[in-house]
Amino acid sequence: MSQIPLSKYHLLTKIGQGLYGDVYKANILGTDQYVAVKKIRIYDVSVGVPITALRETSLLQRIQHQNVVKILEVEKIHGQIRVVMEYLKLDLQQYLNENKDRLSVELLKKFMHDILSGVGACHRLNCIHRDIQPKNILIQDDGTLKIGDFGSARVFQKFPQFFTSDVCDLWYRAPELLLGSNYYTIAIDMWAIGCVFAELILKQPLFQGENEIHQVKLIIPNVQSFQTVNLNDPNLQIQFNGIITNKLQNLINQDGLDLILKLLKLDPEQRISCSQSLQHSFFR
Amino acid sequence: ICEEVVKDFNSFTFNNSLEHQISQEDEQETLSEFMREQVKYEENYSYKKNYLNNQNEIQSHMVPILFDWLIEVAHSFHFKRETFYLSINYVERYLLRQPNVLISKFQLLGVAAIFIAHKCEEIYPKTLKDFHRLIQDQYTIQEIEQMEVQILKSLDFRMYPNTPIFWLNYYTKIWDEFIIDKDPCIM
Repeated sequence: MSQIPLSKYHLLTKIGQGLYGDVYKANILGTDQYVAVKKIRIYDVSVGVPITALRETSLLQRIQHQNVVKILEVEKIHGQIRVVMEYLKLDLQQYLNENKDRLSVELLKKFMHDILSGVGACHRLNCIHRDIQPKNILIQDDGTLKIGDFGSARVFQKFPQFFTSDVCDLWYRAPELLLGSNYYTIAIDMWAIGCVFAELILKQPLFQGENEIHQVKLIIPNVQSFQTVNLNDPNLQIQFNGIITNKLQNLINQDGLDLILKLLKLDPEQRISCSQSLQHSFFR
Repeated sequence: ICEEVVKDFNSFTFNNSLEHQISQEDEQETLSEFMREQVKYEENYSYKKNYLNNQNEIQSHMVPILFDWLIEVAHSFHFKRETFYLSINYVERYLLRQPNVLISKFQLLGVAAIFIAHKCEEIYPKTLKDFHRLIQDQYTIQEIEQMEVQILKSLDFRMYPNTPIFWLNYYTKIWDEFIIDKDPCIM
């Protein structure tokens, strides 16, 4: 399959498995430029072009920003659809695994700035990413971070809407999703960014739940019943802030801690937005 | 459409300070910036008023018939309004870009458009069979599939335009904030 004469790209090695197909490293025939090619597996003939592929390509067509991965082409060969994107060697997870030292404050600032401006660009265009985790944040050679994998992203309106609640990787899932709410806003992305920020500092994921119930218990330790949890209860918030502060106290300066606490608000209404975070004193 | 929006945009700069004070979620982003960005995107996504000029077989009175039928389809499947407006946008942009669409393929275009739109917007997608049943065997499933790919290709996969619903939501939100701020007695 790898040598289809029609294609402009020569597939080299498999570099990953996406939600809906395999990702290959490829080079443009006749040059030494590399691209990433996503082969879209068609699971179900009855739905035509797979939904995730359709949404990802059309959203990436719309969002063009230096901190969001670039889409180059969509090609259809022998009934198979391939999405061609720019090739980036590393993702943030690999980077964290490889570098055991703590990141300097300057690097933290740069990483967070890139992530926030990339996700901010999506939010400004009414797109909610819904799957932010270190695996989906890619690193360019010069150190710029780019947001990738828009497979579960979708557009939204300004008010909370009814969506499916089974989104986001478990460790980065916001409390309102864990409690089963179908109405949510871009605030779920902000929670995930907060978790990524903490992970950059701790060098390991902040909450590593084994299942959904365990995950809730990590965030709210003395939860009695899931139906009666009130996320905008100030006492819960104070208790939760205590957990976070304990974990991060000596590893980050006061401004950074303050930003994390603002990103990790239990109540989605109080969580700060991307544009507000970029104004935060941590970045000065 | 684009000119209209620009006109709106001019008249709205007047309210800029108002939006700026009220909106707590986006303090840094002013209304005009938001508008400018949206208008920039409209250029890639909107259709022109004379989109029927390069069509021989499709007449202007046929378009509303197709749209009426699309409303019925959306209604019978309980789709969101957004879905319907997306499909309208696809049909019109396709007609603008593809000259001489055959009249025998016109309804096929409609079906494929709403099929794509529902995949972009709805939570629980239907299958091609559901849509096939709807058009009572005028076209085969393969034809719908081919048309789908053709639409995607000719629209460059730009499937998320700003629909009228988006602007309506946007204006009503500003209006709500205006009323709450300026004139509490109306409430």
